[in-house]
Amino acid sequence: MQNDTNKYRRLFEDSVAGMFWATFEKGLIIETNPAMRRLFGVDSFEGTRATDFYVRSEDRERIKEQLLRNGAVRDLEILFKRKDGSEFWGSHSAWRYADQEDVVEGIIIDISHRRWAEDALRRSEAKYKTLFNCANDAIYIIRDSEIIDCNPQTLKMFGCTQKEILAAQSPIRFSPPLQPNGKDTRVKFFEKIGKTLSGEPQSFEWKHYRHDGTPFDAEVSLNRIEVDGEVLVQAIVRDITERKQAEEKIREANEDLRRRSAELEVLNRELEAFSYSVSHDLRAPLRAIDGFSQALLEDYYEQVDEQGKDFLRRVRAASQHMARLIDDILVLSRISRAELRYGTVDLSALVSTVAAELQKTNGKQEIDFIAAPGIAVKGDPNLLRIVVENLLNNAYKFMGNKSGTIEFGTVMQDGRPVYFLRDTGVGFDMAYMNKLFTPFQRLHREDEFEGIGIGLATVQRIIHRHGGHIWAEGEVGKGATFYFTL
Amino acid sequence: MKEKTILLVEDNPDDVALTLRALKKNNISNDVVIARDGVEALDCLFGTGKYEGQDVETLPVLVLLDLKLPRISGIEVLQRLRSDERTKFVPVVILTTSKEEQDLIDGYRFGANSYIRKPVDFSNFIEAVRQLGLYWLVLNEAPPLGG
Repeated sequence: MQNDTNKYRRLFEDSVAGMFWATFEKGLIIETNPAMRRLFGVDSFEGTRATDFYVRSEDRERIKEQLLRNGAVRDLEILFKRKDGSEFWGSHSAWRYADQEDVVEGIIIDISHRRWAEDALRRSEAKYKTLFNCANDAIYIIRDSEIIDCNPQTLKMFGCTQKEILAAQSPIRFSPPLQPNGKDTRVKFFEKIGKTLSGEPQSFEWKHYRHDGTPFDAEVSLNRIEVDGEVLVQAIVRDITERKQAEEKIREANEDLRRRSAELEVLNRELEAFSYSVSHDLRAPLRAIDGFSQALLEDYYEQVDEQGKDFLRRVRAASQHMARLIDDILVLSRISRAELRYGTVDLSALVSTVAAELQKTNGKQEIDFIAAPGIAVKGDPNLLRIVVENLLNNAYKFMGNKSGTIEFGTVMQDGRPVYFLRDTGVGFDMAYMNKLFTPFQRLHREDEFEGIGIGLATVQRIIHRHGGHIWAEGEVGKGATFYFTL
Repeated sequence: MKEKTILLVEDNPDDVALTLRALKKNNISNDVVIARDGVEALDCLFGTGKYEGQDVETLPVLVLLDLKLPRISGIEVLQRLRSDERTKFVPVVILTTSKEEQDLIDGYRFGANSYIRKPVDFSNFIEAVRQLGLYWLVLNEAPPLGG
C-alpha cells in the first residue's frame, strides 16, 4: 500500500500533464504538480482561484455545470491564461467525487500547438474557399472520372445547376464526341486524367459544350490533389472563346495580307516585265523615225523644200521628246519599285554640288544661291539626289530670264525639321497647287518652259517612299517654295 | 571571214540600216557581217548551221551585240562566246536599247567589253558609232589570235 502511494506520488510529480485539486464551489486551488505550475508559469498557486486562469469566464461556468450534472468533464478545449497574461489552449478533464462534493480533481494538457495549426488551416481554407468561389475560371474536382464538386463559375460557364452538373457525372458529357484535332474525346479525357494522376500536371485546349449544346473553346489545367488521403483531380477550365475568335481574326488578317502581298508581287513582276519591254521595244521605232528623217534630210536635201525640211525636223523633235517621256516614265515606275537603301545624306553638300553644275549651264543671268550648311538626313542617297536635281532644275528653269535668289534651308514645324527650296522665279497660282505633283500635268506651256511634267511627280513619289510629305507655296511672278519632310 | 570584220548581231532591219549608215558616215569601211538572231550569231562564229564549212579561223575584230534577240538572247550569245577558248577574248560591245539595271549587270557579269545604249537622236548615234569605231578599230590593240 505504501508502495502504491509512492508509485502514484511519483507519477503525480513527474507527469507532463498538469494535475490539480481544487475546491468545487470557490475554486480554491489546493494542490498542484510541477507540470501544472510550469504550465501556468507560477511557483505557487497559493492565494489564486481557478477563475483567474480562464480567458472566458463562461468556460468555468460550463465546466461547473457539467460537473454538477455528470460528475466529470472530458477533454474540453479551453483557452487559459498564464500569470503573465499569455494564453494557451488546454485540454481539460476533471472529476468530482460523490463522497467529497467540494473537491475537484483535474488534468490540463497543453494543446496550443495543435489548436493553432488548426486555426491556420481554417484560415487558409477560408482563403481558398473564397478563391474557389470567386474565381473567373471554372474549378471542379474529379474523383475517378466523375465531378464531385464545382465552384459557382463552373455552373455559369456550363449554364446549368449544381445538381445537373453532378448528375452529368463526367466532363465528357459536356464535350463533343470528337475534339477538333479528330481525337476521340473519351480516349483523350482518360489519357489526360491518367497522366495527371501519375503526377504529370496537364494543360491543353479542349472543345466543350454548354448545357444547351452551344460549343465553346476552353483551356484546361489538370492537377493531382490529395484530400484526406484520397487522390483527386482538380480541373481549372477557362473559356477562351473570345481569345480564339481574336486569334482566328488575326490569322485571317494575316492570310489576307499574305494573299495580297503575293498578288502585289505578281503585279510587280508583271510591271517589271512591262517596263522592261517598254524600255526595249518602244524606243526602237523612235530611233527609226528619227534616224530615217535625218537620212532624208541629208540624202535628199536638194529634193525637199524648206517646208518639208521643217516637217522632218518636227518629226525628229517629236520622236526625241517621246523618247524622253518614255525614259522619265520608266524612272518614275522604277522609283516606286526600287528597294530603299538607307544611308546618311548631306543634303547641304548635295544641293550645293547640283546647284554649282546648274549655275554653269544656266550662266546667262545672275542667280544667287544660298544653302544652309550641315543639313544631314537619313535616306536613299540615289533617290534623294533625284529629288534635289528635279527641285533645283525647276528652280533654275522657272527663274526664266530674271535674276534672283535660290535658297535651300530648314525650319522646324511641330518638332520636326522641314526642308525647303525657295526661288524668286515666275511662281505659280496656288489654285493649281494639287496639279503640281500629278504626272504629266504642267502649269506652263511648252514654248514657255520645256518639260514633260513628270519631275515633281517623281519627287513626290520618292518623298512618300521615305515616309515624308511635300507641298508648295507660290505666287505668280514672285516665286515658289517647295517644302518637304523625310 | 575576212580580216577585221565587224559582226553586227541585230534583229531589227531598221536598226541594221541605221547602224550601217552610221558606220558609213564615219568612214568605217570594215566588212560587216549581219546575224539576225542569237542562233545565227553563234553559227557564224562557230561555223555551224548556215555557216557550216565556212572559215572560222579568223574571228571578227568586234562584235556589236543587241540583247533582245529572237531564239537565243544576246546575253546567252555572250556567255557561249566567253566560255569557248577560241572566242573568249573577242571584243564584244553591247549595243542595245535598254539601260535596265539587270541588262547592265548581266552584260558586265558575262564579260562584255562595253555597254552602249543606242540614243534615239540619230545625230548622237552617229557620234557614238564614231567614238566606238575610233576606240575599238583604231586605238585598241586586238587580243592575240587563239587567246
